[in-house]
Amino acid sequence: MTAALQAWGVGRVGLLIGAAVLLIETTATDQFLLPTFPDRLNGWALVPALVALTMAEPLVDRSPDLTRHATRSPVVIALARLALAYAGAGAVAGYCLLSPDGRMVAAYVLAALSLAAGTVALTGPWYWVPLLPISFAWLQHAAGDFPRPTFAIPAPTLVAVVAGSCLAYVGASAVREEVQRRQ
Amino acid sequence: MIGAQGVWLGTARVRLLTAAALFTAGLPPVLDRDLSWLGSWKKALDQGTFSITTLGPVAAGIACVVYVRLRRSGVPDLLSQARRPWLGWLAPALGVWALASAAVLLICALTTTAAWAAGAHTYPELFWVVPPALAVLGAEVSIGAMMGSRIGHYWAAPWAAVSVFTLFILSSVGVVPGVFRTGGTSGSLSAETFAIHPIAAQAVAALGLGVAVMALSHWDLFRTSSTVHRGMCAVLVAAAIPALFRLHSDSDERYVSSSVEYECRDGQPTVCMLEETTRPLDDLAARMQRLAGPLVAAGVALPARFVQKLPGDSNLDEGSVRLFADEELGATVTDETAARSLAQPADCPAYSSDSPEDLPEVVFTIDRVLTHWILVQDGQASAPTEGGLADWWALPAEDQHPWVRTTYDALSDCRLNALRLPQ
Repeated sequence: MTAALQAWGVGRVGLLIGAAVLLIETTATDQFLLPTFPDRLNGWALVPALVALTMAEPLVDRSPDLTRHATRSPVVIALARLALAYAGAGAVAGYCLLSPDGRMVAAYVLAALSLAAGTVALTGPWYWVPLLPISFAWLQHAAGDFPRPTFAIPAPTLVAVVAGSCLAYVGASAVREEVQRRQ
Repeated sequence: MIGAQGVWLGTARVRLLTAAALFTAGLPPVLDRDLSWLGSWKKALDQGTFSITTLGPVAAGIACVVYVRLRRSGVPDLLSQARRPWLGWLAPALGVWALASAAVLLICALTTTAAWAAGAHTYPELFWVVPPALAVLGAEVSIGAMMGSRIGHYWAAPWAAVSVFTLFILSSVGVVPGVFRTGGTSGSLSAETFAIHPIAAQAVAALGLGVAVMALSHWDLFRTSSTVHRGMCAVLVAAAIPALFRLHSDSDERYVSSSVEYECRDGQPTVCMLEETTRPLDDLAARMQRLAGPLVAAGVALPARFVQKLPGDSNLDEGSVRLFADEELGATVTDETAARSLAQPADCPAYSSDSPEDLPEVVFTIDRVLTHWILVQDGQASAPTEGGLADWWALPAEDQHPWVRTTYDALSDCRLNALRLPQ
């Protein structure tokens, strides 16, 4: 399992956690204006976008041939990949919780990874292509207000979003595996 | 060799899909909340090049994937035996850049055509800002190619995209020179145009960065390129260094003041707006000419023209068209906007004063009363029945005319200290 984790990028996840902490420490409470944005953007808004774009990378199966010959079922492998990605996002979310303003951001970090997992289920290794414009739209939407209470995500909604995306990802992985097995 | 390398971008269908994905990726910065750029052709063009904000990082990610594939397929070893290895190495990056450029050009064509169709005055001579933006796009693609070539793993693709997007943010907030910002402004660009020197410096800096990064993407192959190629790269890199120092992070540096032209709609009164933002002119002129009726009936002397002013302008002989920024770019205005403009028959210098001696507070109250009176006479608002002026509002219109005439005369002559509320 250690070899699999290394192949899936556990080292990079660690690096990304460090990058996210650095981002939080240097810009989270800064306010800056981006072109065409009507209001100033709070640095916190960058954190979910960064997590969505990069932390979902272990969810991409870069070696489908190895996966096909694995002894474990594709569902278990998909769940293990999810566990790795959510462990990274969870660490970032946990660090966000250390700040009074970060409680809201922590929920968005998990929601962002859910969105990314759903996108991986749909587009595979190209997940970052739709996520990048979506991230820009998110920053535009978040400017001026995030992380104010109006952005609060109810806990049941967050749980449903995370569970739904996990189901979508595991389901898509199993279907893809089955299709490849039949070919 | 260059043509043969096109195969690394996939079949014609894949290339078409790639171009479609790049086009779609460039839309979010363009499709902002209210499409306000429809009201200004210059702003529409600027918004079109601003699409590189998201399109560029996606192009960088795609270039990264292509160069990972090249690297892993042993292509550099094959190329080293070729007649022109460096051109062969560059070709896939040029292919990605060409696809991304086509997407940017299509977006610019769409935004400017839409603005033209919405009635905006066109300035086709300003299309010169597009090639410098494409040079920035080239630098972004080269960063993706370099990361793909150097890292050699497909996981680098989202990292390349995020890195390039981060460069846009850092450019915009002034942490690094403003190379990676290709447009986007909250203003209307009326009486403004694109500044040649900063944008040329941006293009030179982007070209220099692009060739330097591509050289770093495979230094061994670069060393085997012809002396002419290496010389050209050295010149571009050398030119980029002063250009980088020349570039500031000040976002306003991209735009400079330009000559002011007006477009007018004749009538009583004639209404003029800046040529760049005439989208609401027909509607505004029609509303102002209709709402001027009660003022004329009251016997006031309307100025012949109401003109959209620039900050710092002052003309005592002309009324002011007073619009909020979103109204300036919108298709229509409200009756309140038209009445507000009619209520300022002269652009007095005192309006920009902070001193209560020059600009008494009663001016603001009178402005509101006069605007409301115009709307009440037109049936667009009802007369207040409460407050200190309720008795005056209850008077027949003929009895209100003397105050309206006196007030309008004082406003026309900028005798602001002579203004009095109705008794």
